[in-house]
Amino acid sequence: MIVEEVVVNDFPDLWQVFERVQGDSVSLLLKPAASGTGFSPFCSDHPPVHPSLGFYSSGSTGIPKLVWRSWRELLAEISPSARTSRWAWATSFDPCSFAGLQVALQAWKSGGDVIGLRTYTDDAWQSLSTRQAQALSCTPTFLELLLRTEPVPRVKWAPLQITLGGEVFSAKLGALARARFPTTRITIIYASAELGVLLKTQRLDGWYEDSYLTKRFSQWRLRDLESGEALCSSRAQGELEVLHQGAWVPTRDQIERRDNLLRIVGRSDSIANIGGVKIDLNEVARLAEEVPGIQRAVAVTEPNPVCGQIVCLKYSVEAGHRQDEVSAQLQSRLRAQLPKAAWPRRWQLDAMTTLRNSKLFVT
Amino acid sequence: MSTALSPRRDCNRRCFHFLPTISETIEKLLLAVHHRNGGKLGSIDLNARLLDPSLLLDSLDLAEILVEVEKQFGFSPFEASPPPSTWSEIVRQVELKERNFNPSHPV
Repeated sequence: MIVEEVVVNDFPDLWQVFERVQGDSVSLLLKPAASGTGFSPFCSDHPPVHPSLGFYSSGSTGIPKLVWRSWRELLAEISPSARTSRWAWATSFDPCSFAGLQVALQAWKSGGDVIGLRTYTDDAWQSLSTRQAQALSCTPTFLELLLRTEPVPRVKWAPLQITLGGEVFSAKLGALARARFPTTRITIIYASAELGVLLKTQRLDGWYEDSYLTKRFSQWRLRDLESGEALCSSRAQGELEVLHQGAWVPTRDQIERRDNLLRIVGRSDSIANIGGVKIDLNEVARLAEEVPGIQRAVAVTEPNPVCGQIVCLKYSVEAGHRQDEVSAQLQSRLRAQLPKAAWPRRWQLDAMTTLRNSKLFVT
Repeated sequence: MSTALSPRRDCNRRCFHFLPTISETIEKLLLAVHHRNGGKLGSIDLNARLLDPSLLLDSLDLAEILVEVEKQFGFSPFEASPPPSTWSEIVRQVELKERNFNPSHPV
């Protein structure tokens, strides 16, 4: 099998790749920095089939992981329509990422164009207003930064479609986005490079209908990580697994189910053990973000010589709020709402930034 | 506890500032957590053991206070060998570290 390695600098490079893969080739997308580093295209769980595209996902361990997706599968996950014909899609995603690839495929299939946005939001607003993109595809963090840094007076731009993915979506951001773009269709996507799109919704409260998942996979289940048992109750929280190509594949994501609705809580490895008590770090962060004036919050554990590990909360305060007042309110609210073992013992203000792919990065 | 502030010289600015001593700073941190846990003590005997029952602290509270000590003084008392067993030992370690860091600073 001949694998063609293609260095992708920007979205227009992908158009030629798509044409070639369409013509039955197998192509591996490489970032400029990764070319010539000796990555083997065959070090993958699933070797490529004809025709297919390979790319590196960020990997749950932090080590880039090679993923091969068949051309047929990739095309099945996009939905070009007359409505989206010739649209310009603005995106903050990297062209070599799965999300960037999906945006590019959607644009390519519908005769449109992709506008790559840099993470610097001033530049982004300028690009969006100049090019008048019909659609925006980005992470929730990117959209939040965009909304919070919009120039005054407001930019004369509103897309027809916003598609968000790559991170957990919060109802708080949903309200913010709806207030700024009252008529825009906003779609939230939960996808993985290996399994493709798992959930899709237009709800802005952080919940997804399970119908999309049921349509895509013949079987799926939530599994309790401690006992290993499948959770059958209509109200449960566990790791989502889907039946894919005859095997149960873990998503490594914790999902809460309430009847026919699903909410992504966060990564399964975000469950910490503090002093013998199981702590859901995503829940700590979620409660923190509910405190007025808190812009973003992330809870992590850190080693501690006294008791093994402690919870550390990294957060940022919205502009226009007093940092000392919000910080005091944050501490007292979390201590009132959380069990003592889950209380953050280190509080770090402004320890967050965004990555090139516009996901939140905790320093 | 005495609330008197002791003078500490800031060499770079060539003037005097009145700052709480290391023992006062640590006692203040301890009292804040003690009161949060429902304690009523007005002052703390720093010769007490780290988790003396009268202090109403658990190991996570202790970890929190030591994180704050590290934040304020730039080093973790538990890095020392053997690790401290009383609050006065922590004060001594911090004082020693401060003195080594800048001999001109009184502690």
